[in-house]
Amino acid sequence: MFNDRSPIYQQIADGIKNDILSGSLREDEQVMSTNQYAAFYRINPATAAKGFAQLVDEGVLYKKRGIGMFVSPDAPGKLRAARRERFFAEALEPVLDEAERVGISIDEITHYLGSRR
Amino acid sequence: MSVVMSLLRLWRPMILWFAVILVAIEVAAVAAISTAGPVRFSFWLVVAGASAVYWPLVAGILLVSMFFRLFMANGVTRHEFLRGIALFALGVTIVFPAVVVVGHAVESVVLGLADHRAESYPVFRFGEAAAEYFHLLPATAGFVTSGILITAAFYRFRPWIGVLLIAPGSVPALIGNGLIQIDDSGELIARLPYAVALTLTAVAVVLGWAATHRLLRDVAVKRSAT
Amino acid sequence: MIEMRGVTIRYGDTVAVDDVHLTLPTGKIYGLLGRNGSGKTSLLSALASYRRPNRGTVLVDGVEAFENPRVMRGTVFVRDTLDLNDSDRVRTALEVAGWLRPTWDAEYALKLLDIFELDSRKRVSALSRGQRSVVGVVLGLAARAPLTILDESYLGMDAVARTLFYRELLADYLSHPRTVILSTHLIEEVADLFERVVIIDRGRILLHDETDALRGRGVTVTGPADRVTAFAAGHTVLGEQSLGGVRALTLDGRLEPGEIARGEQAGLTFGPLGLQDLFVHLTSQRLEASR
Repeated sequence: MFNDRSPIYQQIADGIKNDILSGSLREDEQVMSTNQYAAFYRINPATAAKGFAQLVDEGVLYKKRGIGMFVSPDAPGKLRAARRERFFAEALEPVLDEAERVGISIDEITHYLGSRR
Repeated sequence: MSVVMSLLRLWRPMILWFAVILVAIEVAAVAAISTAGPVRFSFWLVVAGASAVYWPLVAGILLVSMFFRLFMANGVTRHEFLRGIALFALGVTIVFPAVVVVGHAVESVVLGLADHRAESYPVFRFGEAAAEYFHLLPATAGFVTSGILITAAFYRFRPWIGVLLIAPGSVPALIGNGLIQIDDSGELIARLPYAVALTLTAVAVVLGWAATHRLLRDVAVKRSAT
Repeated sequence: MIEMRGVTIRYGDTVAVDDVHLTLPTGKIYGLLGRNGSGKTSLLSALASYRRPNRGTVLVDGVEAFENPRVMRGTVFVRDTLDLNDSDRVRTALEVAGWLRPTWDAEYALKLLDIFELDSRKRVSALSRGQRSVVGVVLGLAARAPLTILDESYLGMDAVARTLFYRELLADYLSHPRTVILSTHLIEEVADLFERVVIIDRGRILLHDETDALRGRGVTVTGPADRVTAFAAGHTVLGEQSLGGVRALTLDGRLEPGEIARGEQAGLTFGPLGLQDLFVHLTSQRLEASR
């Protein structure tokens, strides 16, 4: 489930963010407790807790004392906005670098995008 | 549960089996001997008495070789273990001679009732029970102490050092058994006045335990039994 | 808090544990990694008070552990040589644990035997290697000891049994938190369970860190030999492989994204290092970057 090439708490946080963006987790829906998460994915609970703590810090999740953790109502929107910001720098630029390496012109790319519309 | 109680529960099946086998051998042997005529010696005193001071020796050996690792693995400290086996050894010292005396009494009475006792048979007399008991006590104490001490030496040191230490480790046994004993024909032998012999044995036993304490109080728990 | 202060263990002239200082906050699952002969088992023996260090002390919650009844009663150390008599039956071993260990859970022990499908009437001498591991694991887990040390005891199990073990260990740790120290060779398999990793090499502690801090630490740089070497300047080199004009260097530490970008533009490729590879490289010979 997790690879050992980057911190797992980060992979957990990213995984939950993906679930929120895809709609698997909805606003104000309760997420698994860290212990449940740890037992389910067979990882150390402290690692799970760190991932969840990061999401709370980022405002993606919020805690209800004594009950559990829930998806923030504005989480999907915020995540989408952040991902949009990073899309061009992190997803698109590397594609353009590769295109340059291989010798594909921007026009070719535009033409391809046009046919995909 | 305390160490000594746990030891008793662990030893219970062994003691029961040992008792059953011993009684079976005794009954079978005496029955066989008495077919040849009146019984001239006490088989019980031979098997359970004179040569059977080795039983406490074996008990001493097993206490360390079978149980030290086991108790350590269950969170018992070395000092608690030493106290436990000391109490157990004390129990052996008190009970074993009594078993020998009682067995002798039973054998003697049964043979007497069947009128199978020869002249030379050491008839059991109730007045002498205490004397018999106290003539077995020093040897028992000495042998159980030596069993524990020698095994402790083998546990702590390499085998060749253990071998070298067999001689000093045997001192409690040799003193206890050498000075006071019951021989094959049931005679009570005392090479020195009883009080002196008892004192010497006591000193040897105490020194033996002091040495055992020194050997085991900080010994590493090895992966093997010895 | 478990502390080792200046612990040294010697066997004659060989130093197995060399002046080790280690502080382990309680309540975590630790992985202890080390090659054979690294001093791993000696270290654990000292922690469990099975062996008194030649120098230094082991303290548990501020108290010297050696020969302390409370500490030793609260410690269980399971090693590959089960500390049982061959003639004993498994159920006797469990019984004895019940008599002596105040925290022993007999019901849980039976449940574990059931899960691993081990007949408690079997004698220790009749157990297969995998079954011996099961007994070790049962004795270790059911003791519910505040300090639980398992020294590669589960390595005799097959993959299915090991999976069961990891599941049971985690479940019981969640319901009965305690300090667990597992020593292992099977790093990839177990690493997810560890909160922290301690690596011992040649009697010394190489590192003691959160597992997550080690994931993504280290990178392999591959490319034309001279450019790779130039790139690696200033970094600790853990390993090297050269074939023809191509060189692959394994570097310690993390690289800034900018560094990676510059490297890629120079035609170098980067690969992340898994935990096992990191361990292998850290405990092999170290090379100098200037080569």
